[in-house]
Amino acid sequence: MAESALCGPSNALQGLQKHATIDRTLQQDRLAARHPSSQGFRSSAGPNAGVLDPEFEAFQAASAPPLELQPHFAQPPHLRSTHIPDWASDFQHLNISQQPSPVNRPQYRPHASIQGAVAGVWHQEFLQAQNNVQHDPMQNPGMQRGFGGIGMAGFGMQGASVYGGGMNMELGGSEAHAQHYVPQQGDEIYDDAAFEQAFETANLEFAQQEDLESGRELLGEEGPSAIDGRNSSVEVEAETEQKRQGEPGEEDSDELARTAGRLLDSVKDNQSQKFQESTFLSLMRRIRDREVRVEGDKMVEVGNIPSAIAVDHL
Amino acid sequence: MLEFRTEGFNGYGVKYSPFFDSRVAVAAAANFGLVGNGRLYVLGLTPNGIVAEKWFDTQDSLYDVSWSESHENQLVVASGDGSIKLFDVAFNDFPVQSWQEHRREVFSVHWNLVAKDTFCSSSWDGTVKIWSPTRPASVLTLPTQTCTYSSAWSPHSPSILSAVGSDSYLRLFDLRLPPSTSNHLALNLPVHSAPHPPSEALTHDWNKYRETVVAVAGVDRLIRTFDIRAMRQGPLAVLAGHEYAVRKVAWSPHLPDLLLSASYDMTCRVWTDGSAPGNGKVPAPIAKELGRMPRHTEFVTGVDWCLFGAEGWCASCGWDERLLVWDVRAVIGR
Repeated sequence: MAESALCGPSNALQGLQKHATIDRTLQQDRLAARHPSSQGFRSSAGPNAGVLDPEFEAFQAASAPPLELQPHFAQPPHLRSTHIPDWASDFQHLNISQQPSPVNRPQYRPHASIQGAVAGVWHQEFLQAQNNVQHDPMQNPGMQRGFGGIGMAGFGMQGASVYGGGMNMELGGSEAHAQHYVPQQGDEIYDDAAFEQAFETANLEFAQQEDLESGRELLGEEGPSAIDGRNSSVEVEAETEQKRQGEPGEEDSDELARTAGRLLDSVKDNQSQKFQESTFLSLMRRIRDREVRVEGDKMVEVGNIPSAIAVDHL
Repeated sequence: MLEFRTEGFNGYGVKYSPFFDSRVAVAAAANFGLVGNGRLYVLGLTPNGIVAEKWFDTQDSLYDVSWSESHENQLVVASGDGSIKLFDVAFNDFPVQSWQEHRREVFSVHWNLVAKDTFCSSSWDGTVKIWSPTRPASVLTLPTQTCTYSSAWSPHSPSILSAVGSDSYLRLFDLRLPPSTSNHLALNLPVHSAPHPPSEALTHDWNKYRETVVAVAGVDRLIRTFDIRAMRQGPLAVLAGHEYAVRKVAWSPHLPDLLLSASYDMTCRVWTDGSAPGNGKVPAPIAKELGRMPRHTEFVTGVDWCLFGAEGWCASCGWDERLLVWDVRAVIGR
């Protein structure tokens, strides 16, 4: 799975990377047949997987040619000639489905024959399989959905950005724009140096948060550049802000502020009246400047004292 | 031009009813879809302007809407919490059915125009799912492994659907193919081609007359039309003009070469892909922008054609909390 790139922004090299990986993922699906995946029961090792194995082995030993289950739900005739007794009874004993008689399930459409057969557990299996996948890019626990909201469609600022670090704000990327972000590609390769740096960054942040709690002013301190090493002014500003805010659980808010900054950056050349007067862009400015932030499912106004919040009437 | 204010909610998708010429649905979200609730509007176009016949509030943002092709009162919405809800206009407040399978925001829903007991959805979780309104769980899950912004059935086939997403590829699924490791994937080809780098594809639509023609658009601001039989040979037409990402494209239900688009540049534009034949004196037209509608004051996110009446009526919605109903013919040639 393309964990780093899923839902991420578009830039030239990331796309290229996808180019390179696309065929491989298909191949992996095939090779790692037991790998939990969302597709069909052939590849999903569900809760009954262990129970099935000995039965399947016995079954295999009994009737030499391994048979594909799927087509035979619907069209067993050519099997019938040889295997009816074993096949049918063996099949009945299989724990593939919790449905007593999977064959008799009403079929929705021809293509749904497999689904019809295993509909009882298919969905659960899918969910469980999904939960077991370690690198499941869809899990994305770190980000609240709200971010996505903005990010969708073209801004490239969805939650997945936390993975790749390549979060550029393209409203409508020109090629020059894409070129500009090419260096990000390096960030995707997590070499030792990057980890080193990330570790230091985290350490520093931690230390700074402690400082903050003891009330020291951190204004003017130069925040360490982010893991991804980009140095846009917005980012540095956002980083500094982050230090200043420094409350636990602020990461999402920081991320959003940075994202808003990048979005504004991407439209800063647009002097049209509509863009100058846009409510959305002015909200983005306020988010960037930490005047507004997301709390739960509300936008709240941040007062002078960081802890004092008031409901914003947006 | 008619207008309806979706006060407090920013529009994300708009669809004309396939049954009534005076009914439009708008999927909308509070706070620009950032956080908060969603609202589905069912609007009536009356001699006294546009009135809200009904609305349904949802817990989370709504990103897309599609009318049932088999039941005139039902429509399905895509929600930010990963759920898909089926509403019935005859009932109040609550959906008649709700499905929670997608693991991330659902970004598109589209009803099958041929096999009318089926619809599809696509999500940021990297899947396209196929549903039947009468079934409690999805019928099929098709992996795309990319953030999938848009999915659509071919209007000419009960079993062909397509999807585009952030990896800049157009995927074509044919459900008649055996469910092998390819998961019904019949075609998987890049939308971009040199010298353009890949960029997120946000929207696509099937031509209503030429059954192998698809228009795709997205972050690179270009609208491309393709013949899916020969996608490798590149686009049939490339329509340039939008200043920012294109959020939605829709082919005309009346004319085979006419295309409408909505963009983050706050305009809607009308295009011809240049496919209309020339007739004697008049040479065949070239692909170009025919006109634009600049009335929206925020990003325009949804656009749809009216199936009925004079060819040219359409509706657009955007983050300016407005639904506009207007006649394309009024902006062409301006």
